[in-house]
Amino acid sequence: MAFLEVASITKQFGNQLVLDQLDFSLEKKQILAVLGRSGCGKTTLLKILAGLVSPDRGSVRVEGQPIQERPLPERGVLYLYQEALLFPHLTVEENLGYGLKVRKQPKPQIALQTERMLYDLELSAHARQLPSQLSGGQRQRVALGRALLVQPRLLLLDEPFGALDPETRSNMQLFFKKIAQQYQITAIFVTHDLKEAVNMGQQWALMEKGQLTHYQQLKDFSKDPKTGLQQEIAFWKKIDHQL
Amino acid sequence: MQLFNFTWSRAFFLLLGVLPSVAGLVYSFLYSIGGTGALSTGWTGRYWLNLVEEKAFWISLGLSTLIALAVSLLSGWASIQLVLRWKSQLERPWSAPLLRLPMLFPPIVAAFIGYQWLSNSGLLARLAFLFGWIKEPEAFPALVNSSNQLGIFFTLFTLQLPLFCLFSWHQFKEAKVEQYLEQAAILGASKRQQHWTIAVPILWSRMKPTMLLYGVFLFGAYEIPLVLGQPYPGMLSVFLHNKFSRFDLQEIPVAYAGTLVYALLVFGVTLYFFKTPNRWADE
Amino acid sequence: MKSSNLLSIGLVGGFLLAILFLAVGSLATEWRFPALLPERYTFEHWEAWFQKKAWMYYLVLSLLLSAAVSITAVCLGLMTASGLSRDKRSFLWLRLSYLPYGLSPVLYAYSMQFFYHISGLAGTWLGVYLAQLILVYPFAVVLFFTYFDSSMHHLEDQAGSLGASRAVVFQSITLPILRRPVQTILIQLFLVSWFDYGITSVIGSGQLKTLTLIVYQYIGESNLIYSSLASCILMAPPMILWLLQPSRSTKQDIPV
Repeated sequence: MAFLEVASITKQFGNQLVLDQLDFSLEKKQILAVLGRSGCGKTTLLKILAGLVSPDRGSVRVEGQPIQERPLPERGVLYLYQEALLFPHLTVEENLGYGLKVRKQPKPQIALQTERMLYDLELSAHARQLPSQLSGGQRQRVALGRALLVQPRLLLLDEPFGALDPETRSNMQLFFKKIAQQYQITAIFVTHDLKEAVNMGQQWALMEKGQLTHYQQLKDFSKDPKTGLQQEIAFWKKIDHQL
Repeated sequence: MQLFNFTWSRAFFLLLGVLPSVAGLVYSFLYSIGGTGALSTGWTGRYWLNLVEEKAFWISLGLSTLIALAVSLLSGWASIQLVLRWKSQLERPWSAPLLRLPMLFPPIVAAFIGYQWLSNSGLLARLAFLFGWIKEPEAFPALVNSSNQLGIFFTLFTLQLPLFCLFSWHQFKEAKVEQYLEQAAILGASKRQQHWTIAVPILWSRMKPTMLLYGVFLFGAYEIPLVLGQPYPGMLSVFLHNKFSRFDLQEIPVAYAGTLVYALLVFGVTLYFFKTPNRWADE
Repeated sequence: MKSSNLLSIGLVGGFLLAILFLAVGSLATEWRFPALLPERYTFEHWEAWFQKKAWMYYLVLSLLLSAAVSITAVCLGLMTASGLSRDKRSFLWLRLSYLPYGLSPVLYAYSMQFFYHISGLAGTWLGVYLAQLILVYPFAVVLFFTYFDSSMHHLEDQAGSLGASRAVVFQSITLPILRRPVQTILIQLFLVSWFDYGITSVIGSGQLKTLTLIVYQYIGESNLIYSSLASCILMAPPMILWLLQPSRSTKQDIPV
């Protein structure tokens, strides 16, 4: 039995079929990069996986248990948006410790864990600052750290670096890979950027017209002309050749 | 493309929008130090001294501050709680027009209605009589024209609350509180924790400027305290108006001094607010 | 009943009941304690009111005064806001617009009373018109200023670069875009003037009467019936405007 099992999920908004009998599974400590253009149903899929939206048909099971059956705080599925959504009235430190605080963990333990996380996020100098004083990349790091501190079973990332400039974006990709390895994250990383998808995933999927094609290997992903990877490689080869 | 000449616009703005206020304040100052006015006999600090030594002035100032703060803070607080409780209801298209209903009431009419409802021969007293709680009008607790100022408070609060609900609701949407609540829920916060640790602090901070602005308006409330308040000393506008309109001409320079104190207080508070940036500005 | 319906019922109920009470009061013959409702009703007071020429005169003059004040303030405010908006430092100038709001209108009027006396404007309609205009004009500038942002400037510039003159740009671009805010601000300023008591009583020097002053006079005389009746008439214009209002909220709803 796989860690995450998604079976025949269908979702319709009005007349529009957003997800059509979608199936896939994911093993623990794996990162699935989902490539899809805007409007392909990526966000709806993630919201269903997080249990924030109910599917019309089909089921989502984490470790064999249907996701909808448990109340939201106990699901252990964490959803990160393109926007960091740091609580504007709390400092970086308080934002990081929020999940632990609402779980009523003892204060010294919260302090210890947030301090360690601040170090890992390379944000120790910003502990007392408010979100409005941080850069876009720093905010995303805090959002990631805040999520990691509650030890989610599954992390859902919805274009998390989409609002960042190209340089910060590529730094954040490197940073995420490092942190993912360190914390052994199981995650679904949704993006419309081909390079980012190739970079971030350990498994890959393509979402199109409400359907998802899952590839275990990068070479399978690359072979499918629909992913556009071959064209991209050919383009750069041609440029290289011209140079 | 500059549609209207900048220099002319600025000159016009200064002439009609700024100059009269400044002239009024300068005149008030000159009057208060004996520089002008019917009884002017030369520069003097006497009127300012009279004002400072007048106990009723301080009572009136304290009363205005207290009522402005109480109405503004309590209606601000209540509006946040109501908006968070009734957010789905507020989505409906007719909610905003309904919340604007109090704007239809001129202050003088609101004062009259307040009197009709709260006085000891008013609607509430009649209901109390009907239920046998009182036997005569005098037995009804004094809410209007009494030292407890409750009539003023209730009337101002009733007018303020719906408007504040409208503003809180706007802030709720603008600050994307719904998304923060969802994020807090995902992080494991219970409904109660989401309410008190996320929604209330965010909205309270965002409502502060509105509460301050309306606090300033309430501080200068005139018609409602005039009809529903205690005749003496009353809220500041009423107290100073009485001084201006008395036959004793010696009171007029003191009233001008009081007007300046009032203006300086309001400008001071407003400037302080403008100089303090909102720490919790959006991401 | 769902608790969520309480808000609307409480609001509508409370405020409509207040209006209803005014109407009932204006139709009463006698309404002594402890009667919950008047014993008898009559239209006599209403008939008397509308037959008395002086009252109708005050009503028409009040309407004309508020219309004149609000229309002038909107026109001038629109032009000033447009003119000032292209200078970045104007934001600082705008803070000065808040000066009149530092004082309650009645004290504001006292502070300026002297100038109206020496110019002979005190106790005249022109004086009251000017005093109210001075109060609402800065408000109009502040409100319109928010609409003259960079996107409005880009549109105006675009029209200008296509060959339109200033007058044509103002008439064909600026005004149509601001149609809704102009309506809303006009209504707001009309109401500020219509509701005004302090300025009219001080600058009018007790010689002029608007409907608001008449209501106060009746309240002072403890004349419940005529207070109610005049209140009903005073509330009619805002009531009509409220019923005609567009349901979509505008920027003006938000004070800060």
